[in-house]
Amino acid sequence: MSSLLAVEDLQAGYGNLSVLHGISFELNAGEVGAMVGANGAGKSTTLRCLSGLLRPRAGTIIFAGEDISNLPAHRIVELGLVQVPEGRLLFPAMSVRENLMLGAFLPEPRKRMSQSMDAVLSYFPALREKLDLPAGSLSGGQQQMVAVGRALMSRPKLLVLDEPSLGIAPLLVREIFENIEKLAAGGLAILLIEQNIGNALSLSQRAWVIENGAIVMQGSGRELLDDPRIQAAYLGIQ
Amino acid sequence: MSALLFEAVVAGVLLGGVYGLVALGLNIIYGVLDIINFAHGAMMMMGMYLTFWLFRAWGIDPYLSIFIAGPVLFVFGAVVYRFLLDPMRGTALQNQFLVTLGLSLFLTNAAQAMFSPDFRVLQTSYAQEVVQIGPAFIPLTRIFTFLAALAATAVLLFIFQRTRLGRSIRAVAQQQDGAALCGIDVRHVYTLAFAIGSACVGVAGAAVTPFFYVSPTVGDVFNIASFVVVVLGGLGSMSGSLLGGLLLGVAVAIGAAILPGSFKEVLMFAIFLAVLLFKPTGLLGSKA
Repeated sequence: MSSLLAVEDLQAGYGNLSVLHGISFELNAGEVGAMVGANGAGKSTTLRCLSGLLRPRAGTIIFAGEDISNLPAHRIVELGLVQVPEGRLLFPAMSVRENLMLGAFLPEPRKRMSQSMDAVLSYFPALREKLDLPAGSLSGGQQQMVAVGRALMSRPKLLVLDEPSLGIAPLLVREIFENIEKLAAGGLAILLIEQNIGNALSLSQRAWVIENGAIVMQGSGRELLDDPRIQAAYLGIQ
Repeated sequence: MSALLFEAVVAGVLLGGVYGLVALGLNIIYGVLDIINFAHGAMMMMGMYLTFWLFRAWGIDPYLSIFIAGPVLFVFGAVVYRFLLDPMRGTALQNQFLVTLGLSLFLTNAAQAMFSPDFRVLQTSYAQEVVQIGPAFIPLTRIFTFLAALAATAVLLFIFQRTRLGRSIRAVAQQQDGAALCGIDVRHVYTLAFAIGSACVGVAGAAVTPFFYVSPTVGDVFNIASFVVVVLGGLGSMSGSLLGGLLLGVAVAIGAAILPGSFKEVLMFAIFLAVLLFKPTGLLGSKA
C-alpha cells in the first residue's frame, strides 16, 4: 500500500537562511506521526512546506498520490491536507461560529457543514456556548479548540497540528491530547509537531527526531520514548 | 438655526453620502491589501468621463450609467491588481503604493491628453429642479445621488456581512495565512477586493456627474476627501466610512457657508490633522 504522505529530500529556508537540509519521511492513512525536536530545528518550516505556506527549494511532497510540492495553500486544503497552524491564526474579530463556518469554505465540506459543526461541538462541548463570541475573546485553550475545530470542518484526510499544546494551561493540554487520541481512534491520520514530547510520542505510531534541519532518529513513538538518548536529551531522564 | 445653515447641513449630508462611498472603496482596499490606493480619485475621474461621454454620445442618463461605470471600473480594478500590483506582492509595501501613485499620474495625464484640461458640465433636463425641505431648497440631483450612494453602500455592507464572498474577504483581511489554510484563494480575494473598491468609485463617479464638473484632475478633490474620511471614520472600519463621510460632508458645507472662499480645503485638512492628533484610530476604528 502506498503511503498517504511521502516527503522526499525536502529542502527549504527563508532568504539566505537554509533551514531544512533534505528531510524524508512517510505516513500511512490512519496513522499518527509525531515530529519532535528543539526550537528552531525546522519542525514548523516542514509543516509550512506541507501546507503550501512556504515553497520548498527542493524535494517532493506527495499527498494522496498527488505532487503538492508547488501547489498553493488553498489547493492543498482541497486535497484534504489541513493544518492547524502555530499561533492558531484564527479570525479574531469574527464569531466562533463564523470561524468554524470558514473551515467549511470549499464546496465539498460546505455540503456537510451542519454535520461537521455537530461533530466539532461534540468534540469540544465547551465551544457550544461561545459560538456567538468573537474568537479573539476566548482563552488560549479555547482558541486552540476553535482552530482544531475549524480544521475539522474542512473534512481533512490528514490533520496537521503545529504545537497544539503551546501556551495552553496544563489541564487543557491533557484535554487536547485526549481529543487527538479520539480523532485518531476515529481513523483520521494526524501529523503533529510538539515540544511536549512525552505526550506526543506516547500516541504516535511513527516518530521522527529532527535536529538542525535533518532527521537524526526515527522509529515508533514507543521506541523513541524508551531510547536513552531521547530520555537524556529531551525528557530530562538521566 | 438660519435657513442658510440648515441648507448647508442638508447639502453636506447629501454630498457626505458620496464621500462615504468613495472612502468605503478606499477602506476595503486598505483593509484587505494594506495599501493606500493613490489612484482612487483618478479612477473616479475615469467613471465621471465615461458617464459624461455616454451622455454626450447616446444621451444615456448619468444615473443609468452607474450600472455601466460600476462594472467597467470593477474590471479595470481587477486588471490593475493582477498586472500591476500582484507582481509586487512580497516586496516592500511602498512599492505597491508607488505603483498606484504612478497609475494616478498616468490616468490624469492621459485624460488631459485625450480630453483636454477643460472643465465640462453634464446638463440633464432635470438639473434645475429643486425640492423644498423645511426652509431649504435642495437640487433634485443631490437627493438622487445621495440615494444612489447610500444604496451602493448598503449593498456592499450586506455582501460583506452576510455572504460567503464577504466572509472570505473579511477572513483574508484579518488573517491571511489562516484564510489560505481554510481553502480560500488569497490572490483571488485580493483581486476581488481591489475590483470592488474600484467599482465604488465607478458608481460614485457616475452618480456625481449630474452636478459636479468633470475634468482630468477632478479626482484630487475626492482623493483628499476620502483620505480624510477614512482617517475620521477609522481605518478598516466599514461603517466608519459612512459615518465619516456624512460628518465631513456636513463640516465642509458649514465651513463653506460661514468661512470665506477657499477655506473649505483648509477645513478638510484641519479635520484630518485634528483626528490624527487626538483620535488617531478614528471614530469607529480598532486599535490596530
